[in-house]
Order: sequence, then structure tokens, then C-alpha cells
Amino acid sequence: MLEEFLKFPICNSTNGYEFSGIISKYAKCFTYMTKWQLFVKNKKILEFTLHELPKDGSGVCTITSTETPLFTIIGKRLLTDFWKNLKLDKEVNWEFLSKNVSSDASKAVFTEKGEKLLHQWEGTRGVPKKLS
Amino acid sequence: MGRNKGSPEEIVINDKTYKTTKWEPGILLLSTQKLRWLERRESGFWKKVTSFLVVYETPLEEIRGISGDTGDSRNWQLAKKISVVDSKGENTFNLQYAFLELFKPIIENAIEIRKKEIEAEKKKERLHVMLDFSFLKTYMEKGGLIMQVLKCPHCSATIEFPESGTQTKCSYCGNTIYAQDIFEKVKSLLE
Repeated sequence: MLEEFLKFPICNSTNGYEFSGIISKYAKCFTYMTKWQLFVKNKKILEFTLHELPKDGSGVCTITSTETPLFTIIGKRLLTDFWKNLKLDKEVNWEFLSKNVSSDASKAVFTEKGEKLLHQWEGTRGVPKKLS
Repeated sequence: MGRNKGSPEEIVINDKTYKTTKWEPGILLLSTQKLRWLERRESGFWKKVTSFLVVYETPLEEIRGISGDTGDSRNWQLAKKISVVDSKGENTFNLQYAFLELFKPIIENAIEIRKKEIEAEKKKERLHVMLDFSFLKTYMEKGGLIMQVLKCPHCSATIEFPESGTQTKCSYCGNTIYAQDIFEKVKSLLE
């Protein structure tokens, strides 16, 4: 089984992987911490699921064949062949990310000359509370 | 006497726990130049109207560090705690789809592009300061060109080639002509 993991997709690290799980099988790269769930049948890996993104930032890089960032397929069960043929162009796909900017947000902002809105995240901001 | 508990968001005074942070809803917006926080405001009694107000903004080049929660395929859409440190201090957020493996490279990439842009602008400004028409004349003469008149790039009128100065005004249309712009054109002709 180890022979098949000499070079994993995305990071191509040769430093090895840590395997875990009894029912569900996982492999975690020592170098980039990329974590995979493996679907094995007759000692052969049929499918991979990207479970944790690599820590080198390549999660936002564009997959050449689909023109979407790598993080869009996190958690998806995909055939081994897909991962074998995976190519990343190492560029952040700003066009894809900027589609997420809502009209409410763009209306609320006065942009500077040449400034473009790239991405948005919804949530909350921590503000110090005055103690009475 | 008061003492801090484990969480930095709580403080204990006389055995009573007080929350020191309140969480305001909104949107963290990244642009090619700035990172802004737009606070969500609701108004209206019968019909609620939502609006956003910029309450925090920092130029990308002033961001000093980013830290936060990591995630995996099971929880990456859940809100994650993210901290952004700029020249004025630390800002904390709880953001959806913002686990560190995604958030950090997106912000760092935008910062890198912005820094390159600033550097290019500075370089251009330096050239604008240095380049004047007398330098341009010498440069062209070295390339075997003698220019006595200029064609205004705005109205195509013919004007006399200035002896010195970094810029001149077209006597016909009034637009400013920069020695730098003429230099760029001449350079492309000579190369």
C-alpha cells in the first residue's frame, strides 16, 4: 500500500504520510499537512477525498482543467484518476472569488481610483465592551 | 481585585464574570487596496431596512499578521475566529468560510500584489521627477535624432520642443505634456 503513496497529489511531497483510521482510512502529509480520506477496495485506492487543505496556500490556486480554486472540491469524493491528472496554475483566481461580493457591500463602499473589490466574508467583529 | 480568566473575552471582578467583547454582525471586504469591515445596521419598524457602514479600514500594505482557526471538509463553512493585526492593533472576527488555510493565502496574495503596485507607482514617480526635456534632448541626440517640435498627444497640434522642465503645456488645447511620456514613446522607437 505504501508504494502507492510515494507521491501524493497537490503537494507531491516525498517526506511521507501518516496513516490513520480503521473503518475510514486517512492519510496526512508530513510536510504540508494535507489530509485525505481514502476509499480502498482490494488493496487499491479507487477514490480520494480532500479532507484538509495543504498549509502552503495552494488551496486557493486554480485547477487548470476546471478554472475553479482547489477549495471548491474539498470534501468531494473523486476518482483517483482525477487527482493523478490534477494541475494547479498557482494563481489565485480573483475573478472567481470576486463573484462572491454582494451588491449591498459594493454599494456601501467608496472605492479609490483603480481599486477593485476582490472577496467578502460574512460574520461578526469583536468590539471591546465598556464595563459599567 | 479582578483577575483575567482563560478567555481574553471575559474578566472576573469580585467573582462576577463580565464579557469584555461584543460581536457586531457585518461583512469583511477585501479589495485590491484595502481591507474593510462593513457593519450591518437595521432600521425601520414595520419594514426592516438593512444597510452597511464602513467602521474599520486598513490599507493592505499596513497588515502585519494574520492568525486564526484551521478547518477541514466537515466544518469549513462554519464561522472561524480570525485575527488581523495592522499598524494600529489587533482586530478579531468570526467569519464564515474563512478558515486559515484559505483566508491567509487570499489576504497575503492581495498584499503582495498591492506592494508590487506601490513599488511600480513609486518607480514611475521617481522617473517623473528625474526626467526633463533637456535630458530627453540629449538622450535622443545620442540615438541620432534631433527633435525641434513636438506633436501634442491630445490635439495633435505642433508645438516647440522645450529646452528644460519636466512638463509643458500645449498652447492650443492647454493639456499638460510630460517629458516622461515623450521619453516612453521615443524609447520604443529607438529600441
